[in-house]
Amino acid sequence: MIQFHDVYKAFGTQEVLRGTEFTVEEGKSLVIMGPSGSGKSVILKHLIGLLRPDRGSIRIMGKDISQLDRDGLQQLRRDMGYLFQHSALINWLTVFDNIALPLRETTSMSENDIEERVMHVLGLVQLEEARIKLPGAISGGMQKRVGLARALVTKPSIILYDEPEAGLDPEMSTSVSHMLRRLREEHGMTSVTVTHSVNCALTVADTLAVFEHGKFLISGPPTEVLNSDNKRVREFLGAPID
Amino acid sequence: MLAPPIEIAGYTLNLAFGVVRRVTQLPRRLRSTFNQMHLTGVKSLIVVLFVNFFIGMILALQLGYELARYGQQEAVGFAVAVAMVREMAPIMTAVVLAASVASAMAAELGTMRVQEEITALDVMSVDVIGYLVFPRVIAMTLMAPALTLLASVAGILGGALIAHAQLGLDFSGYMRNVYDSLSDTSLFGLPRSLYASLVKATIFGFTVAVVGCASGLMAKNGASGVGNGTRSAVRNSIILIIVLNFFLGKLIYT
Repeated sequence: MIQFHDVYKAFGTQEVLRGTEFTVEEGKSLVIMGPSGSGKSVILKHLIGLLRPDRGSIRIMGKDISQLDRDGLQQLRRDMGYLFQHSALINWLTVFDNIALPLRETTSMSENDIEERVMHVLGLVQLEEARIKLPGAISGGMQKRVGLARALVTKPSIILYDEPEAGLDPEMSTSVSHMLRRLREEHGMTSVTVTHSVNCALTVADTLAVFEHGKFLISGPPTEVLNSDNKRVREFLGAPID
Repeated sequence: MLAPPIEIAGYTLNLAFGVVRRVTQLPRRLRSTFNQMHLTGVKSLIVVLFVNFFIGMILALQLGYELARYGQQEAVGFAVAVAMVREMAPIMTAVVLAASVASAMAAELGTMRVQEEITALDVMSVDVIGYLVFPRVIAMTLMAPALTLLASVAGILGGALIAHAQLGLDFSGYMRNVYDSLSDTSLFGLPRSLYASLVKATIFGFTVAVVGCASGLMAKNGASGVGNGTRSAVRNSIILIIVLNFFLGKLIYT
């Protein structure tokens, strides 16, 4: 369970989060949409402990992450996955080694067990045949799926997606969105997704929220949000305005 | 907010201590350390030998002419060997390593930083110092003295070439002078000059690698940040080599 309570964050004089609040129940999926530069990725960076709030509390699986020391934070992160907007793969490691990296570095698993686990997640993202390729030799869509496999390989309970469809063509974007949906249904992971894609949001979300000026304009089931009377929400989602 | 130079110095020192604290990780980092030794040592070898061969020739040329004015040109082997082994080989090898390897480390790690790859490692709870910095620093620390030793030989041979061609000295006489110069007071079983050379080279190697890695890891603001990191890696390494060389020389020879 994720609880983001009354969180404030400013960079210099620019207030990015202004009393931001939300809760994601275990196994549920929250999708956050909003204009570029509104601070959506800042929320994700707070959730993974890369940023600390100026005020407020962030509780993940019962632990207030702003109170955790480095070891505590690392322990918590081992139960979380993060898909970066640009995949952030290590360019001198093969696809297989990129995915195996967190297992080799943070667990005492044997190479046989690591290979079995990596091949399993490569199967989930349908990339078994790309395992010996370097990131530079595969397409952006494939890199995104490798990033997804790397986020999944440690079997996290919580997974954070930063614009999973960014830079992908419409067909690949739809394919990745369905993959995220399927993974959540099959593995029951709690997820928070930041996206600009309404299609991705509708495919993945249990709860859809629209974020602007440091606060949520609206939050609720996707159909409810899409049919909202809020003019700004309708403008942003591209819904017809009465 | 700390002033940038103090922040950089603090970060670099912290990184240096971080590497020392992880020395027990060496067995599990052997493969990546050997890869880095190949990049640091083997790929820099030709440049190091070339530069130091010419340094030896320059020393022999200038010292030879001056010594000849007093009829002491036979002592050129002595002077070249002392200058090369004690000072020039460790300094010039470290400068070449700073310009070629530390700059590459800064560029590589800087690019990883701005492309969020370092953040990704952090998020995966991967120990960034252990995984990326430790193999690079250990490799450079081990390869720098080895390269310096070869650089000394190259410089002495460069000097021999000029001693023969310009000053008319025979090779065996030149080498006798070289041996004499290196048979000074023994320290830990090594001639003092050689000991000084290896100690300096080891410390320079460690310093240059830590500065290169720190400059890369501190990079921000995209491509220009990587450029700044690379530039500061080379500049700060060379400044530290010169300053450390003075204090190490003073420590060893007093």
